[in-house]
Amino acid sequence: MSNSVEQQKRKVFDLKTIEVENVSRIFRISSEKEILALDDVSLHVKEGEVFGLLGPNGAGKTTLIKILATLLLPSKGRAFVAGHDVVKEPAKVRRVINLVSGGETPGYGSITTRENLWFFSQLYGLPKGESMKRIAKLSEDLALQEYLNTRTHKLSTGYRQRLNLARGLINDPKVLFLDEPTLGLDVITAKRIREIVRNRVKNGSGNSILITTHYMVEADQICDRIAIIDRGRMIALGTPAELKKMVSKQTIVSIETQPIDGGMDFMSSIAGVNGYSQTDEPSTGRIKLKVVLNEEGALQNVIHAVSARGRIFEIAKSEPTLEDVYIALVGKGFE
Amino acid sequence: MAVKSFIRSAWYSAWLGWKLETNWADPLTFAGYYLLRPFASLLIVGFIFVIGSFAGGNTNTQYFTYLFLGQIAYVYVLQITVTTGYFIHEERAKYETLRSVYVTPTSIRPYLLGRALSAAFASTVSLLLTIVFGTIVFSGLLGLNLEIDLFRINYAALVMSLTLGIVSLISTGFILSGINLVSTRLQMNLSEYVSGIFFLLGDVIFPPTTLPYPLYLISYVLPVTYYTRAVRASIIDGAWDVVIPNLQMLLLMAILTTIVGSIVFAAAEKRAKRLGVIDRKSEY
Repeated sequence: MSNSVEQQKRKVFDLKTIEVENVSRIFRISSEKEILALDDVSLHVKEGEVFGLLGPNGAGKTTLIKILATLLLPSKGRAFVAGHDVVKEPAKVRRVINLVSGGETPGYGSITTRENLWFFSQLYGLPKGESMKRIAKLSEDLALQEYLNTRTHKLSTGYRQRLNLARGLINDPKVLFLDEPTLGLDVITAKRIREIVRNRVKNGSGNSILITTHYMVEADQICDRIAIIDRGRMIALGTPAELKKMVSKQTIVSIETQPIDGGMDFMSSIAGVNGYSQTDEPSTGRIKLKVVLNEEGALQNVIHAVSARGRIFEIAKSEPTLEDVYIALVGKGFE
Repeated sequence: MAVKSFIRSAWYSAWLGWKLETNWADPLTFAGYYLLRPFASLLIVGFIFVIGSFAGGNTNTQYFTYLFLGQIAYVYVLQITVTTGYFIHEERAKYETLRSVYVTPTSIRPYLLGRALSAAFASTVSLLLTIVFGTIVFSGLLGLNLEIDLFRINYAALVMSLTLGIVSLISTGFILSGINLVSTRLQMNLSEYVSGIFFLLGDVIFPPTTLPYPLYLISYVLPVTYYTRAVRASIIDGAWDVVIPNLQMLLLMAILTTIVGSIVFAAAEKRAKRLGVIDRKSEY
């Protein structure tokens, strides 16, 4: 490719670090069964942005990240990272990215934290001095200093995930993919990781982060923009405020009730109910219902239907959250 | 630049491989393990031969030397090809680092090469220790005159045989890794099957001419056959006119396995990306 074309290409992508164009992905399970994991998804991530992919398990979030990280080929469509085609120029893409996945505890257990980080820094071709500096800085940011000389199989899940994040940041990637980075972590570690994610883009470095999560609060706290994905389809896209505005004309009610025989399926048939989610409260043995109503008048119908089946302990109206947006769009909460 | 990055990644992967190989035990235990593992195999075959010979009333030291050197050469097969074939499974299931390595700029090939070279270095330690202890036990303690004369060994040819053997066996390991990259079922078993085939048909314990007809043909397309022959020729015969034809065949096999290994691995990587199984854990 000539220099001018290359420059032109870079200019186009100057503000869009990630560009996804009509990407679909089909997994063939058997000769008769196929799963559509991604269905014609288009989006872009801007420089310096934390972009969230929000959706339940199996929505297609990880599939999209894997395509962008060159681990998987799309069945249809095109995707670019820092101006490079993920299918045609995977080596160029890998120079500017890194990937951190949660819910697992990767690392070479019989070598130390420092050695793990050193090894990956060398795979990214960092000069030795620079590598040592980054290891020191990252271990300080992630409170890993006292474990630098500890073999990683001795680290707790939380500290191994911190190491995992440090590995993901060792090459100071222009684009960082975080796939459920706080899954299964304690509150303190999860909070620390969120802070680091936010700080990474706050300093105007132009670095971008694409994060998948099914924690609504996490997405709300750290993402500049969010795409809600359900069964492979992107069903909404916007800033957290914009998304919440989508349900601002609707009424959101929390109802605490006792467990009801036969489940809550009857809710779907109540006139005026847009969607609902339920959460078990093990400490009280109660159920917390979150109901999105198209009009406030429908509340009477809900109260009548629920109280006919079980006791209601508490009813309260609440401010819209991302969860309400999801319920309003899909008709139910995350499973 | 790309070559430099590749070499650098391979070098540090070899460093990692050595760390992982040695860090699990203290140095003495590690050395003992690296001697005992191949030496145990040698003892099994050796004692089967000794018992069979006494039962049959005839000790053929020429065949015993053939067996002894076949076992010595097989140390590389077991520790290079089998280990390299196993890396993908290990990365997926044990360390869970396959995707982290895969998304680095040089990706997975220099990583596998580095780890394989580290296994080759470790197996050279095994090989040398096995020669020394094997000679002491069989030639010294049991009086089975091994037909090995330290002054007749063609050391230059032996180094060439081992080097070309390493190239060929690593390339074979890449073929196994490629298959494991696509399949999530075979994993550890694949290396075991292949090492078994190499052991039986690779001129390790049976000369190909003694094998039944179809197996005889298979033996002649296995790189291991030419590697074990070149090692034996370098140690027993020593003379260049005997060694060179073996080295030529081994060189040819090394080139062929390198080409086939590269093609198979590249095709497997592409297919694994299409199927979405690169970082999928084994099903067994």
